[in-house]
Amino acid sequence: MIPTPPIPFCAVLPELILLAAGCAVLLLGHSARRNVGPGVTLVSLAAALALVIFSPERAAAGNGLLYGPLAQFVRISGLELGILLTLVNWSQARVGERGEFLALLLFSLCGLLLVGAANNLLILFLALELVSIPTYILVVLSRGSPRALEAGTKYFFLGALSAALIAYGFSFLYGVGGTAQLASSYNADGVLLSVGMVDKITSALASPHTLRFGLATLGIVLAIGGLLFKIAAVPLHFYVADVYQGAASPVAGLLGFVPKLAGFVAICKLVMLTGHWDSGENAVFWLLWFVAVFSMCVGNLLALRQSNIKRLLGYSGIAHAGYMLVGVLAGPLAGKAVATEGVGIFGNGVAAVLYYMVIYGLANLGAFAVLALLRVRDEPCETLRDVAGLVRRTPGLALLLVLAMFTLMGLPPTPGFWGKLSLFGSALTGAGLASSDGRDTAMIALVIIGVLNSALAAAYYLRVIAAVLLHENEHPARAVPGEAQQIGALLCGFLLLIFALFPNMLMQHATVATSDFIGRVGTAHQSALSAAPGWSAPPELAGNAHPTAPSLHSADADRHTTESAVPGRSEYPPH
Amino acid sequence: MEPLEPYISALAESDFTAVGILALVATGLAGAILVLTHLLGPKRVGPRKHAPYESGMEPVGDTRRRFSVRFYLIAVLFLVFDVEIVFLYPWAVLFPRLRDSAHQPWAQPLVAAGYSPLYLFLAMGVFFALLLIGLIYEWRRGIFRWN
Repeated sequence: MIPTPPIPFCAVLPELILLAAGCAVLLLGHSARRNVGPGVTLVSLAAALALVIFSPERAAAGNGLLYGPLAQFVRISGLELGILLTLVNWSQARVGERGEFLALLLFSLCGLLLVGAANNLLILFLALELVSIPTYILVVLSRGSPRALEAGTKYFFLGALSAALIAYGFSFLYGVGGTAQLASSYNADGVLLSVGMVDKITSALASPHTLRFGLATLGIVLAIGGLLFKIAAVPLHFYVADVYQGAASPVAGLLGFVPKLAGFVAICKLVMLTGHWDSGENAVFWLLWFVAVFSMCVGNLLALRQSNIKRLLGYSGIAHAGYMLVGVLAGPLAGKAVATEGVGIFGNGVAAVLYYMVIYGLANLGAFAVLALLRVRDEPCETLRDVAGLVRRTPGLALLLVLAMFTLMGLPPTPGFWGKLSLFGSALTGAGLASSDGRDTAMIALVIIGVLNSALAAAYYLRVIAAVLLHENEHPARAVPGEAQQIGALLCGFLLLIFALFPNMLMQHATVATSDFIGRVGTAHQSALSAAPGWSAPPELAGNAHPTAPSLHSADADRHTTESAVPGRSEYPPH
Repeated sequence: MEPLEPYISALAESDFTAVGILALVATGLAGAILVLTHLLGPKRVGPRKHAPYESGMEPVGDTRRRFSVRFYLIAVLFLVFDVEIVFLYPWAVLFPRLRDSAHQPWAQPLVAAGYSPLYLFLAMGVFFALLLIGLIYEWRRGIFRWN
């Protein structure tokens, strides 16, 4: 076997910048000047972002990493949100602990970037832990109260459980796959360098009543089960409200984006292994279906009863994980029939997930940034009563909070609406393409449950908005001075408005990002066909990439261009 | 009597010679230390000396009590160097063979693919640098000031 060459140094330069800046901030920690640490953090994130956007050479592979469109999307969104997070967290930690705090923030973001690029189970596991372990400490460091300590301890123990589940699941996948590499890797000329585990896992899952099938199912279910902790979906959601309440508001805003995006990218990479998006003949569908339904219902029902806004946002985060799982179920191939007609994201569930994740992260961070900027009698602002009458004192912050709530609710002009529309739209398109063993009905039922839940969720978001706009409080919240935090909050609102007016900007990036998955699914699909002779695919399932999506490997690109698009099935969405 | 030489030369050629020597040295060293301590060491007796840990830990009793945080700090410090050794051993074994890749057929494709000795050296250098930064950080935080 020819060893795959190591990844070029310049390809991982953005991650190395974050790492070096993290080390520098750690050592500069208690320097005399208070703004040195946050300044270095901000500059390093901006430098990494500029490098990612403007560097000409993007595709690279080696050492268990694969830099394609998906990694590019995760890099850009992670670094942009990272800049906002730094601004909002500017003076959150006490002066003596600021170095540690910002270094951990940088390490966590570095892990997020590596999750996007991971093409190896070991690297994926390490990257996921690099995301999570700093967040445990960030929760504790964020404020010096016993409640933060309790939240951090709970978060750590459940996180350790989930890491154990993920590692155990990965060990089974490694056993069945015979390699730890996820997708096969090619060199620049399209020559196969090393075979990934996709084909073996897919064929194992396509042949029931064998040992391989049982072990592969066990591995996938355990690994996805562990990842449900990162995205805060139902069986592993118990920590959410306590941790969000215990952590300082800016850190709670971080928890709503960094671990969740990492978790969803990892889940998509694992579901890609199963071939579910192609044939769907495995247990993953029903696992994710029930998790999605319970996440939506449990999250929204529990959020209805909350009077603490941080807990409310925590529970709403569970519901949002449920909405996004609908998109994961639909998969990137849901709309391959309509993809050629330029409808894009409405038929691409994974693109919808990536889009929604960024929008949710922005809105969540915006809401928490507003809470962080408010004090009630020198206490952090947390409850509905605390924000009552906010619009009469600090109208700017009040309007930002209202905008964030409308976005989370999914009211039509906000980007949250476009996100929900694309998630549920892709699910309906996927239902139209599913085989008739009850899964098409299940998908339609899922969409109905999702829409009903969105309506239910409006009740508690509107309670916050009503408190801000209509109610009054004799102990009003006051805005604390903090220029960086104000700029960060302002930027959140500004980006939400931009994406409300021009949703296509982000959607196109998200659609391009899924071309990795579509290429892989096409490969897996063909080998699954050859491995299972008795099984024949319906003609609609022939792989077809989005035409505008650049493919990393010329071999994949050739395959896509030679296969003809299937016309028809374009009733949804209307255009 | 059967001559021992072929066995000895076979043993010398096999890869397990080093393991055997290591086992012998380890056993000998452990035995020597035990015997020498018994012969040369000062004889002090008392309840503290009979306890399993001379550091003052009570080995039997309720675990729900306060421990000095220094135990954890020492454990973390130890872990840093322990992990370093775990990575350093295979690296130290592999590195000279890669440098000598002309006589090591298995190493040639590795070197050809780009895993040159310089690459491995730099990779270990990055690892060491990270550990060193951790150590400097601990130093600056005053972890080594015991009082």
